Amino acid sequence: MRLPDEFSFSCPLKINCGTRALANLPAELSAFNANAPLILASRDQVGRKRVSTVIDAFRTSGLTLGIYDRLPGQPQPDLMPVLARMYRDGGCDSVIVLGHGSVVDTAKCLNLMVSTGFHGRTDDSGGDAADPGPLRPLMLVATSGGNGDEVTGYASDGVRRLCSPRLIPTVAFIDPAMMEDRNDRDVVDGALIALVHAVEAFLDDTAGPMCRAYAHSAIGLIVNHLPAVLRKTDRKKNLCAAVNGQVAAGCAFFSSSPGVCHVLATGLKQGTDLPLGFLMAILLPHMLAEAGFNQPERVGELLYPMVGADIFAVTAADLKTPRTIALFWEFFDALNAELSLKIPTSIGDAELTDEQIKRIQSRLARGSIDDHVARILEGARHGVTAIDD
Amino acid sequence: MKTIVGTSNRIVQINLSTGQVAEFQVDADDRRRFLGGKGLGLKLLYDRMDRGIDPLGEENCIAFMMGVLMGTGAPCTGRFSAITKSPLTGIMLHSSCGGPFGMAFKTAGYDGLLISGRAPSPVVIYIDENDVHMVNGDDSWGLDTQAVQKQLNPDGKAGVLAIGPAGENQVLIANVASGHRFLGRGGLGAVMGSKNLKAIVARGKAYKIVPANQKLFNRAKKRAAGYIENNPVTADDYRNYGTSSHVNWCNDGGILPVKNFQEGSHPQADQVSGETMRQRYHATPSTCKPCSIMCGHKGTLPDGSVHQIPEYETVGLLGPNLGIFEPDTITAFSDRCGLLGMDTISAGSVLGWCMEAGEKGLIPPALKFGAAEGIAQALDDMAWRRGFGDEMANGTRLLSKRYGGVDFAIQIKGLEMPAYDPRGAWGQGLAYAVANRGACHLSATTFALEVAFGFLNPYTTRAKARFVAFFENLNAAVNSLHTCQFTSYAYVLEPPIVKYTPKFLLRLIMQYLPAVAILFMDISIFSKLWRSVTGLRLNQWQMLKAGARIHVLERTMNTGEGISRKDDTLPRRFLTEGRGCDAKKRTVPLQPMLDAYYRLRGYDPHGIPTEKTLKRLGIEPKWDMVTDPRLDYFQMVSPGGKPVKRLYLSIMLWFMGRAIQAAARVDREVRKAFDAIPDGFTFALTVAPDGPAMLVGKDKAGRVRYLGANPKQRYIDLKLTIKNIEAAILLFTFQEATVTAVARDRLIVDGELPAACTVVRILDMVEVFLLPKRLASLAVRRYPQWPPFRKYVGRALIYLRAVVGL
Repeated sequence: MRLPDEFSFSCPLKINCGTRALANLPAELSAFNANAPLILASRDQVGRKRVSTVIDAFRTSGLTLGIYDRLPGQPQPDLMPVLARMYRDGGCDSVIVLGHGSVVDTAKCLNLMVSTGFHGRTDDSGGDAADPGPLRPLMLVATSGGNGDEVTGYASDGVRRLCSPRLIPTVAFIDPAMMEDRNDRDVVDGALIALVHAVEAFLDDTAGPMCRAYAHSAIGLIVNHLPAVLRKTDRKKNLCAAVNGQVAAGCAFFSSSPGVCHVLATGLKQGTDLPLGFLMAILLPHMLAEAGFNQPERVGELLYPMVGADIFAVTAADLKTPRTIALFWEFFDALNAELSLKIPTSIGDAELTDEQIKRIQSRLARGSIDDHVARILEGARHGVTAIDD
Repeated sequence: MKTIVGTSNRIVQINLSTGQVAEFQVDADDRRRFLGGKGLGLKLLYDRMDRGIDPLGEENCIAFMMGVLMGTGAPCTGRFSAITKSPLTGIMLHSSCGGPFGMAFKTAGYDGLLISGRAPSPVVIYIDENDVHMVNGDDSWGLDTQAVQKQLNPDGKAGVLAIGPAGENQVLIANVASGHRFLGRGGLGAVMGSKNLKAIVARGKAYKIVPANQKLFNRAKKRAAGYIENNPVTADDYRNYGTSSHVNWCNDGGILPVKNFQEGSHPQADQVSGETMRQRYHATPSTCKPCSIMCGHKGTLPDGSVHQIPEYETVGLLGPNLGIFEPDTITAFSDRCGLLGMDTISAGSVLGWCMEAGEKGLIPPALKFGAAEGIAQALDDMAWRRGFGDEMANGTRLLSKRYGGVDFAIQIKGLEMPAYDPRGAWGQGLAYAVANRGACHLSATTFALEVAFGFLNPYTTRAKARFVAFFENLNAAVNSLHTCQFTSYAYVLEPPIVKYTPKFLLRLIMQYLPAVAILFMDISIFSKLWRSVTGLRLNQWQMLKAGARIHVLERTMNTGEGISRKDDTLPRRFLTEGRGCDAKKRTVPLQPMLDAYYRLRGYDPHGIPTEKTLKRLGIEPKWDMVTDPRLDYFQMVSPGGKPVKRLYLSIMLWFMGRAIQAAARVDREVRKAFDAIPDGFTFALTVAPDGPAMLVGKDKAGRVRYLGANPKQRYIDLKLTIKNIEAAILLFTFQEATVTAVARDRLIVDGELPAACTVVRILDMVEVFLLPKRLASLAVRRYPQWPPFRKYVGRALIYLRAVVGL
């Protein structure tokens, strides 16, 4: 394993997983001297029952909880002062957020706002952002449907995209009781985004070995458990494993640079209704094929988390990359067997026109990587990986 | 002498800036809806004042409102109200007083006095039946409260309201004197000082006040007087010992403020009780007029000088709260505050904060608990705003903001707390938190129900919100009639339905069916008195609704100043720190009571009266009260406990503890394991946060003993804490072995690791003895192969000994 000359890695997140993991919420809060949490959730996203489950975790704790379970599906900037008022009026000293996506973004922004003295001191990610200092405890109760972004230091308040390691939640709770029977498409979408992020973090030369360790775990957990989730065999347990994978992928993603698949898929998303994760999945084998030309050894290492040590050991070095790519195709096929909305095999199937693809390509053209992007897009357009050629 | 039937309905309005004097009347509808006194005063200010004005600016108004019953001869009705915006809290302030000014003003033919503006130089207002005029007050400026009253009222026939040096210097805790009584709280003296108004002199006895319905009045008065005479609190305790009779039961109940509310009682408290002071000073009544309770007393000190005997709040805050138990010293401080024109409650609280802040190194330790030295000087410095006294003069809120120590600044909304520790009376905690003027014991006197009379369990949240809301409504009405609040003890407790109901039944109904208890409470004596005087119709329920209207109007005015749920709280000390006298270290569980109270009151979750509530009470919103509709979904909950699981664990831990003790006697291996633990060693297995526990230890002779279930009572060498009750249930339903629980991070081990390993081994062995193999295999890591004799005979003996307790 090659050690980069310079790298940084930070993951202050503690994970508390398993049956009755939620029962540890009061103890975890108490470890941060917090005893008045504000619980945030979207009732539409998680349902009333799961909010009650979290409240029940505080039985015998003697604590009083502030609750707001009507967070909207999209971040609303004008909601932040209202939430800050709830936090202040309830005498709260910490935030617990249930769910994923923009609900968690809102909680992160609120935590930043209340921890920095209600001034709403938020900084754009690109500039010379001042360190806001340690924030108050933010507990994440993870649910299926997330994509790992929940545990990163990224957040959006609806106007600006914020980035700071301080925004990372303090503890993530992964409890089978919170693994609801959600729409399969949303679960797969989130898991695929997390998987692609993990793969790209794994291949990132600058990310360092710790980041790769997280990415390694994420890939293994998602690839091995997501199909079982769709087959409804021991669903809650497998969902827990997949959510663990998503959390690990989020940690890896935040410690690496966004990869080509992430950037391309985000661009392509503007022209199609297809979920972002599905678009990323279309691009992933082609990106691996492209990477396989330059770093066959590195891509081949991806086989390890997917098949385990034994098969990895007996697979010839020159077959590891094609085998990895083939396994991803098999993985997508396994998912497609259970999904009503299939993962397309090419961008053409995603009903994106050539013109749209060219526009994205020209927007992303950046010198030497231009050729790589072109080849990935070309492969994805036809749905055939170069390695098969 | 001319006659006024009912009330004159004449309000004098004086603008000190222009010198303009006017007179106006209040329409009958407002008189009925706001009763008079406090209620009407608030309504006048609501109509005239904008929100956000400077309390010490000329836009601020002061309303002095006489009680409707004043002058009629009804018992204990010589009281009047003052309403203004407080400079100490920045919100509305109502204060009540029983001095001679009220009666003189009322019999001069007026019901109220409204003062606005600011005089360019010190003035004194003179009022009599024919004239209202201002004279230069330069000669009076600088005099103390008693000297100025003597100067302005040499014949003693007038009633004077005057400020002392503290008011002149706009000390935020300055009060206003009338005779030896005071409009004490919230800095009313500073508001008068800011207006350059040194005193108001009223010369009365020009009018005779007669009730509109003399027959009804006579009947009601007779009944009221009878109630007061028969009630032990009003006819015995207060009449003989004054309000300082509270000292002993407050001390017994653990709600006496000791050392800035760090303790809740003190063995020397009796030295400052009403009973002791009566004996020491040969007390004689010195009260408001007319009064048949006579709680005020004067007495003779050993040096022969005659002084007002301090009442309970003064004793509590200037005595035990400062660690002082010398009655003469407390009386001297009380006199000093009286002459300077400063509120004794706030002054005591400021001094207590300074003493504790000095101990903690936040400020120089000039004052010390238990030492009287320096206090008199500090009071003078406060009143004259000299040196550090200038900071102290602004009250504990500003002091603690500047120097730190907010946690032990005993104030709410800026107003310092009176002498009842809410940790020993949770309902009083709620009453303090939601009282409109800040920490106020007169808004809802639930401490009496909880501690003095024992009708409500002080340590439960049950029924508290309902009684707080009820007493707030009642007291708002009482302060508008206006009679002394102490009459409530007699008027509420003496009617037959309460008096002849067995106390245990009364307790049961009040605690578990508070709405029913309130429904059957007979307080019609108040409404009958008001009805007989005014001639307007009013029953007790309409009176209570008027009380609610007055209370919510005041709240509405306060929310206009930014008051909301964040301000309805208690000093952090009462929420996080137990009293020194309380082994259980109980704190006030405020939030659930607050939620219940808001629901009863018709406030939104942020404590803002809803539009529906305002409409129901007929209050017209003066400013935009609309809050964000999303706030309606915010809620505060206290999830409660798991009593069945808790009980199960308590039994299991109790039995396990006794079984360990028995096993150490019966089994050699267990005894050997204990040999590895030093004598005197104690270990505990507890469930966080304050769940069931089991303590086992070796005494000095090496005998293993079960030591009970309270880990707070002794030093523990090794503490195994199960993080939550669910994890404990996994362990004690044998779904998870102890070692597995440790591996899964379900236990916190506080102590030495080798000892912890030994203890886990002992627990495993005891489980093997206690449980059949099938269960024990689940509970222990590896089931041992023991000879049958050891296992079965040992099991029988351990069960026998555990049950018997050997």
